[in-house]
Amino acid sequence: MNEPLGRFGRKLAAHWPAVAIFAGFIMLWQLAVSFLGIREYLLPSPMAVLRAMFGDEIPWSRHIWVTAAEIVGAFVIAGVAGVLLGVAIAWSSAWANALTPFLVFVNTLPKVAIAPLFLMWMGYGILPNMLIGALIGFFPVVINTAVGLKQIDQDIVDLGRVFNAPKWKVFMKIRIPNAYPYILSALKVTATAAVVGAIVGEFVASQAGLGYVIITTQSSMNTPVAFAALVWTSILGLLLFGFVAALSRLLVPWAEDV
Amino acid sequence: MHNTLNTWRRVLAASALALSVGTASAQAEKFTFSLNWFAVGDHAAYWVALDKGYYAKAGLDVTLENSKGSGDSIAKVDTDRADAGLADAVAVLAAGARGARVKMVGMVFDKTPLNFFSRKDNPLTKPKDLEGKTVGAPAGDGQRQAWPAFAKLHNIDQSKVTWVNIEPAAKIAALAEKRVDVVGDYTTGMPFYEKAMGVGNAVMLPWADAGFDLYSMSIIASETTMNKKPKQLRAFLEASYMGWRDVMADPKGALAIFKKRVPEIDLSIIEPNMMLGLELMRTRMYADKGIGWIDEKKMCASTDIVNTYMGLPKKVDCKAAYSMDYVSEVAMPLSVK
Repeated sequence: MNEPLGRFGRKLAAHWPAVAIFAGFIMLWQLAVSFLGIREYLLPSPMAVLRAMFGDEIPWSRHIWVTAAEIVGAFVIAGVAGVLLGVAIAWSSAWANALTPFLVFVNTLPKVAIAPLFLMWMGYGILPNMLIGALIGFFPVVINTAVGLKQIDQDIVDLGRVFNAPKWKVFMKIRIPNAYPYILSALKVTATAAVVGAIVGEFVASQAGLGYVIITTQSSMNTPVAFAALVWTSILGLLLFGFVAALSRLLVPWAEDV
Repeated sequence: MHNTLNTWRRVLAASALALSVGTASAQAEKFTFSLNWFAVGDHAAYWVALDKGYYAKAGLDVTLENSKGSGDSIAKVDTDRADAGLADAVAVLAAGARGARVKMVGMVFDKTPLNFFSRKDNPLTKPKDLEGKTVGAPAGDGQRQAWPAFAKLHNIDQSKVTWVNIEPAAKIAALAEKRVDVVGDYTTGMPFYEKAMGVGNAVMLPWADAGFDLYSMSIIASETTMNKKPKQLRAFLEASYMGWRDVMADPKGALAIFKKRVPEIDLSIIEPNMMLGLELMRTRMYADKGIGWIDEKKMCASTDIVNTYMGLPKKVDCKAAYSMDYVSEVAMPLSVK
């Protein structure tokens, strides 16, 4: 009887600073709105945003669903493509020399400026928005995968060689598990990049989604609803981030801090 | 020797100029005008007024500032980051319903520039053709906002028309690349579409020709400006409409000034763009009452559309949305068309 409460208490003790920062932020926000007399269309109060989040002015579930699909899609594409490219770069220096300059070039392109071109090439919808998110988020995975595969205790690799393990087996059994912490920490960055990509894509062209709600309601000065959509968006981002963090704890409990 | 003398003369002349400019700006009152967008044809008038010294003669040191759309411009004026600005009437009315303290103090276009563009291979020849089509427009565009009223007027089944939100900058490409069938955009945009699609390949359906009228581009001012700087506001409007008068009387000269002041503009597009804007101003109303006149009946009809279809938290009173206290009559030099 006492134990779950104790566990909860321990959790609270561990997380109270994070909770306090959120609470303090919301309190300051509410006070600023109340005492400075800021008009709602410029900055709505936290209460107004909360009401909008659970109000029936907007069919939230539909928009959340569309944006969630785009975020998850972008995350998966970026993750898979990033790991594959990272493996290619770590596999041989020839591949690394061939691929790296082009990948760096793609990564430095400002994605916000490219997004309208995606509309021309692919039309609008969930898929182009996934690709924009993937384009923003794949690079850290490539780099971290390559680094994780290469930065390895040479003794372990030598041990594999002693037993005559082929190169691919050394990769599968030694190098890839070694790279897990690196890949997972890159995926945390990708999780937030996927959110940015989905919203950028929806800003350019869309018929549904949280970015669509933001742009539509902003244009009619319905700022509380725009803020509500922002909060829903960041909740989606937090969930994905939390998923990656949980995955890290599961796969690489020894390296939870990365 | 001769050379040194010349140099000295130049230095003297330059310092005299600097002095005179210095004193002029010390006396002149700062006045910021927020444009609604990056440079387009209907901004020429303000650059002309600035270049010809109309603002300076009225004791104003005017700064022209770009914005990203009407909403941005309204927010700037409402928070006193600008003294006056350009904004679409529909956006101004919506902002009013949500607590913005700005009013329209003069009109720019008298006829509505609202319009649909389509392609010649899949043209929109009458409003009813919209059924079954996909229409792209930014969420804040006049066409998107006033659409339910337009559909009702022409008995269009709204469930048969698909709207897609697209970024303003992507409109032209979306139509040219057949990603949408129709794009909502001002008639003045025609030269941009012809540049992308080829002359003769863009088809217009102006709402004004389809029996629809609604106020659009207007000059707005905040409560602060109206209460604390009424004289300056009046002077600013008179000088601005004098700029418009000069644009109408000598478009080529106006464009030369515009290009000198904003070198990035492409005159091959901006010239026809500006001329199409003038077509929306050569009306009986402006000929009789002067450029920029706001008609109460038309304003109230526009407000009715906004109140009925935009789902605002409260109804806007059309008489409180505008003020004619600051416009002085500037005669229009164009004949009525």
